[in-house]
Amino acid sequence: MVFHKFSKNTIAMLSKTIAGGGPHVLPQAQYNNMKKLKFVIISLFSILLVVPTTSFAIGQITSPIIISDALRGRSYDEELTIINTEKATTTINLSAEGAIKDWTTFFEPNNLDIATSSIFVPAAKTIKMIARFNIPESASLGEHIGMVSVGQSAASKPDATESSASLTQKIDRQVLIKINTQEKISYNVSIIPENYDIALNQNLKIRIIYDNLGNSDIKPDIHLQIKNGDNIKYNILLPYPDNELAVKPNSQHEIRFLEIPLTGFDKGKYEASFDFYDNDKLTQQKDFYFNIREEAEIKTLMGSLIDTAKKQGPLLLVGVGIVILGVFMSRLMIIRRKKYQRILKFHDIISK
Amino acid sequence: MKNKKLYIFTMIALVLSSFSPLLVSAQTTGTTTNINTALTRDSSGGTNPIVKAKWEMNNATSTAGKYLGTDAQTAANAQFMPSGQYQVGKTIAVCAVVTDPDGVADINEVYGDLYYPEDTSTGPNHASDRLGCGQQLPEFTLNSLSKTDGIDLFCNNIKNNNNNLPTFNSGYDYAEICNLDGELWKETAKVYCGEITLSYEDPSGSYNTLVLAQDKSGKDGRLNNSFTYLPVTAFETDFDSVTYGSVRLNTHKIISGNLTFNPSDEKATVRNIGNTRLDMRVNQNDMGLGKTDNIWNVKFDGRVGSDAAFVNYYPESTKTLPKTLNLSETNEMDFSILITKFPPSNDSLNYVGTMVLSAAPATHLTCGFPQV
Repeated sequence: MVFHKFSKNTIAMLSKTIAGGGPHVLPQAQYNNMKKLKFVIISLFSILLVVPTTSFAIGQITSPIIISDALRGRSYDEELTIINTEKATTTINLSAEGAIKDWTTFFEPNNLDIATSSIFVPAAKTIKMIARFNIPESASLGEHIGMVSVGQSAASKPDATESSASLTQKIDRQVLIKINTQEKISYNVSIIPENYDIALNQNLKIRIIYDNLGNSDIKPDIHLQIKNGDNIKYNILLPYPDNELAVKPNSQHEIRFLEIPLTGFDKGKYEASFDFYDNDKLTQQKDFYFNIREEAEIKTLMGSLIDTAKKQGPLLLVGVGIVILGVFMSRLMIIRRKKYQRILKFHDIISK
Repeated sequence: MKNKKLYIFTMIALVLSSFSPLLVSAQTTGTTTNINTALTRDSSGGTNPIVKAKWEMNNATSTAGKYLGTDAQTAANAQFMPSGQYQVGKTIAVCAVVTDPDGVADINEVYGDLYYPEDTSTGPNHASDRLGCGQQLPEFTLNSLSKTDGIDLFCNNIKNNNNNLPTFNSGYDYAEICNLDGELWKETAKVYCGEITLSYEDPSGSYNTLVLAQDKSGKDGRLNNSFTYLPVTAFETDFDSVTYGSVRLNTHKIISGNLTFNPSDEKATVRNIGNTRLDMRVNQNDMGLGKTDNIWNVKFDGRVGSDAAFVNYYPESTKTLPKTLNLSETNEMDFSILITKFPPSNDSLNYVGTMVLSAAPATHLTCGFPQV
């Protein structure tokens, strides 16, 4: 395809060159033209070698979605992870089949209000989507089997001058929903204090993240005690905040952090113990220890980390300085030695 | 002279006799000499190092080159996604908080060991030539992070953003390790990290990992847990359409694929680029050929691999093709078409349609049985 841009004469010259006649036999202009042709051919070969050939691919996480003990009239969200292994942005279509087909809608994780059935996925990226299974009140008890699929259609259309079929690729993920009538409360909770060392009269800040593993929404209440040995210093019942959404099944939710005032607490080691209640039933227990210290003590202890960095800074500067000084001194010595040699030489000439 | 000869003879005899125990204990097999060697491990003195906590994470770093402490899912311990791309591995970091009652200077090395899932075979096509079945991946060394980086990674990034990632040794938790009296602050414990790459085709499942800290007396401390290599089903084809070309009435036309993954050769090839085995399914529309007496005017066949039997299917029905694609297997796809009637309502010379190729995960090959 490229060759038509060059004259027949040039191609003939090229053939001659390849056959054994060197470029030295060509006139300068034709030789330059030849060089251009060679450059184009080499470039084309390089491009063919470097640019990967087109292929067509798709992938998704396929661990089966199993919702045990689903309740009628509830919805359950599950995460889908989709991989675009193409080298260009592609449109991924989402679909459901089987007994769960009409129960399933798809959402982007940051927009759980507007359902969608397709999503753009950038080249070589992984994205997450949410599949929501709405269990109708009329659903029968027992197992319901289906699958959720991600698919993409070929960007290029087949040649219309021949009988052919264009390709769509799909990856299927099995779904099993067991419908039951009993509520199951099961969840994990992570308690993350901002610090384990609190300055005197400062507040203890605690993050709480719920991970709902059961089949119904949860709103646990917290009974918090802060103890110094057997001495209970703080005792409070914290109902689930009214302004927080309930934690839905198969989802994580972090409530607004707790801030416990420690005014009047003495220095020392304390235990914060948490009892979690769901409908007055104890469901989880957690605890951790923390220290109350003088602010100056914390600064001193924390300072050891900052000091290390601070110490390393000047040390590095000193090191660099020594190297520069060393180089400078050696250069100076070389210059002085050369100068001395020149003086000696001059003296030799004079004495001769 | 005679005395001199006697002296030389005596010396040679002495030299030979000094080697005699070796000669006696040596066992010669052909031209190879096997020499028995033995040593006794001296682990006297000192106390065992302690691995207080360990975890696995993505090797992703901030712009400053610091580990972020992330993994793929929110569940406890680590979950990782394979790349889903041909020959693109997944590098993970294995880290641990290690201390030694005799001082961190007594810690000689910290090692990471990973093991394939038990009872899962990688199968006959695994390019890395590994068996799976609980086999150990190459052992690697963990290197210590600076005090600042170690505290920032464990007590900041992981504690605050990925709290359920680590496994703690008995008696240890975030509070013990991260409080200002803790050993990371006092530098009597350090965070060690090392990296290893899993292949894109290493099987999904639970990988046991062990961190082993060894001190200078040869005493060691260990902590193990496991992470999940999430199952990603993915396939790649070197074709995006199937050209049936000229088809004669009632003449079975086969479109053969080949084993060469080359988009420009116009021969259908498929390869497994995920970390599960997979079954291919096919569904094709009628291409406008319609029905007569409620029977389709067209019928198709398909198969994966030339040694598999063709499976025939009518339009709009999904059929699973019998040959399961093993991990990293590349194979040909053959299709065929049989038209029993060209409908008079469609006088077009060419018929165009759509084919859906789908894949569903299949169970891994198990160990101890002949591999398919």
